Amino acid sequence: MKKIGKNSVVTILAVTFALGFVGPVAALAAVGVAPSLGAEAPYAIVASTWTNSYTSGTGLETAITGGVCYTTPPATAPISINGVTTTPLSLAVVPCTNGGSQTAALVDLNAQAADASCTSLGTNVVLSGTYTPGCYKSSGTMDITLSTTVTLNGQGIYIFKSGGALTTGANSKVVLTNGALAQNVYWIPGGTATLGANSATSPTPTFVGNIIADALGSTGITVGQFVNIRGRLLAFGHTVTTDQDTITTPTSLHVIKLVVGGTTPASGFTVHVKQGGVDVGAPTAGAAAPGTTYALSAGNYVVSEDANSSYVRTFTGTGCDSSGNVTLATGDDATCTIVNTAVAVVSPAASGGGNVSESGRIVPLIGILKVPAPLALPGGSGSVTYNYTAWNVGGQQALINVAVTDDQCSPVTYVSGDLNGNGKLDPHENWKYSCTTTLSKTTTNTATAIGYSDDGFHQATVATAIATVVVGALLPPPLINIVKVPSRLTPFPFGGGNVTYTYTVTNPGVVAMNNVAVTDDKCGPVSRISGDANSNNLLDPGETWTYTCKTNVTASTRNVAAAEGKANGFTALGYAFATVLVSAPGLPNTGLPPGGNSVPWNIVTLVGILMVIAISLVVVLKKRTV
Amino acid sequence: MRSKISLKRSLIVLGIAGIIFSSIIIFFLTLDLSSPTSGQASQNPQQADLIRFPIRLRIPKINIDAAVEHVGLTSHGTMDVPKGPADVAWFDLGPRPGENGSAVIAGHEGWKNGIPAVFDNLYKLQKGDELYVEDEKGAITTFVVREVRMYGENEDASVVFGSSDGKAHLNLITCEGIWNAAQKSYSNRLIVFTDKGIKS
Repeated sequence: MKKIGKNSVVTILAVTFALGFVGPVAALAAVGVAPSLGAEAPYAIVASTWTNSYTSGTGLETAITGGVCYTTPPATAPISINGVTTTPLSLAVVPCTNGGSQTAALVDLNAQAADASCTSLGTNVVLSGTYTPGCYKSSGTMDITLSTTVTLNGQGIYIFKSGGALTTGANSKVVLTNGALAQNVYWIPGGTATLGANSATSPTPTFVGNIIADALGSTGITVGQFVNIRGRLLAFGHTVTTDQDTITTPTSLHVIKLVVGGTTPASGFTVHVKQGGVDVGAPTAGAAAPGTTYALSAGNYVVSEDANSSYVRTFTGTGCDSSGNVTLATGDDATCTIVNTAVAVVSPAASGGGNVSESGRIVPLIGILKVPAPLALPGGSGSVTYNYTAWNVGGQQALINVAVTDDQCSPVTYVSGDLNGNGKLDPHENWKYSCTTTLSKTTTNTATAIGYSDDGFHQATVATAIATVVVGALLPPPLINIVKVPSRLTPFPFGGGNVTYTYTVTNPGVVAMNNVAVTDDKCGPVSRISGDANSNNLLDPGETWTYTCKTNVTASTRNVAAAEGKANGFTALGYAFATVLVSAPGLPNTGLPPGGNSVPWNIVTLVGILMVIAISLVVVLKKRTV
Repeated sequence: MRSKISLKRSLIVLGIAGIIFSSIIIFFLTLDLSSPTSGQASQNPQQADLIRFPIRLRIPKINIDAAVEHVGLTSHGTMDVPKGPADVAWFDLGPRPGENGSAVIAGHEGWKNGIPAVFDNLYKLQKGDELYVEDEKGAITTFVVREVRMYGENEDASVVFGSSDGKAHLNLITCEGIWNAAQKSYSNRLIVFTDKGIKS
């Protein structure tokens, strides 16, 4: 039973591609890893000197959506920034302070481009045709010729590195298809970048991606007239020149679906991202596709899905609240997870019901840890072994029928850990499992452990562990694990009470994570109370960070906590489930025997006896009187 | 002699009084000792100012216009029931009808000697039917049937007594199924789930 999930009712049927790193892979190209743009993410333009040209025409001024920073403002009017048209004279100096973020991003990208896995296109390359996600480099210049269209096809990261200048011809285009996103395209020219003018304005982007100027070889970024860019022009310390252009900072929302139990795959749910009640977003409005990344404008949105009565649905993650509400600021890269679980919050009692049956009930808790070896396959496809550890987090009772499954690897084989050989996951036991598979592309998979309480209630407990293995790139992705324990494992009486959740977050990987955050769909705020031993604000390998959250629970509740952490362009995700029970009253007994009556014979009998005694007393007294 | 007669009369009166007193005591002792455990309805203080105690339940479709008793838990941990066939009983440890959460009202189905009971026709309710609760100030709150479901007598009733959607619900309960003479209970409970609001 403990070996593999023959009887497991849990299948994780989908997971997500939180940064869009899963997608079609070019036969020759390595898969790139998105760098963190850090504090530069909200900016459309970062420059020392911002020069702007304007000839004439209503509504033909340069239009920026996103932040701008510069030391010397443009001299030519007008410019529209986030919908507000202004004259350069009124533009105050907004000095850039984000050179560190640009440098860090360049270090990441140049490291990938320097690797042998980055496809070398030659010297002084001319781009044309279609490219799939990957890293492409030229040792000299990189050009797109006059009126040529370059297509980026598929969801994933694109890196274009040139040793010299990046130049595009007049009326040329770079366009996206099949889920490719502008925020995942990176241009890192060793020299100056020059984008050719268009003959007229375009309502859709004519160039996509983030151009990041080299600190030494570049003199800046020059954009010709009427170019529509969805991306960023990052030239810290250099000059950015615009001319009646449209520049929009990419803003995105990743919608992740995690389905636990049941028979409906993630693709069987219809997901929506709506604004004002109307489906919005790209690449597919309201699509059912799990793990969809939506390129959106800043604003308020609501993530939802069509109801499925077989599942309980919760929203979790740093990007949305417990109702799926999302507030996106320009440049945000938010993540919202929809968790569907088919496992009942309250397992039916083996016998009895109501309050009576709650006696002795203790909520079980299982945990799972997954570590892939290796975390990265820089040379391309290869073998990966996933090592799993399942343990009894609750520790109050043994767990039976324990099973571990993985949505991307099979079979998952039990290795060791049942010290007393009783087939039960006892407190203090750690059961080891293993699974080996061959990966040909970067893969994120989810392992699930399920167990049941060793009592008459047979209560289910579930835990998941998610890991990404990179194929074709050097930098390993981060790993995060979260365990959640409520302060009360026995049922509250009817009415409920206060409960404190304790979250234990660990880094089982090899790289430190930044921007670590823990959220809970039914408790907030979640506060960190300890763990950052060296105070570097990074969740280092081996560190254990502890968080807590207190709330009042009035009815039996299962909540989902999510942990996120970022490193090497990846977002590591972990989820933890916990149940708190509140006893409900038993159902009332409102019936009488069919066709019967409810004459209270006990009362009738007693009253009858008393009446006889009374009458006898009266008779006796009368006789005596007579 | 007179005092002797007076003494006997006093004894007779005392005996009769004792019988009446004993009967009353026995009557109360034989009532369900587990009748309503007292308790305060859990409620939002602000809502409590607006939502008052229910006094009548009306369901035009099945000709119900019943007084509402207040009950709590029996000693067995189950919701108590109305004393007679005509009234319904509101579970006063939960929300009042109209407050956020799930208010619960129970009523009998069937009574002795063929006397009809208030929820004899509860099974006739369907999705979309309306019912009304009048509170002690005469305010009427409307509820619309969302779902009708059958529960086992010992089935977990968390969903009946609790909700987490932040909305107001009223759930009606009566007995159904097969009579279990040993348990003195029917095998099932008919639950009518309703939502506050007006039929759309």
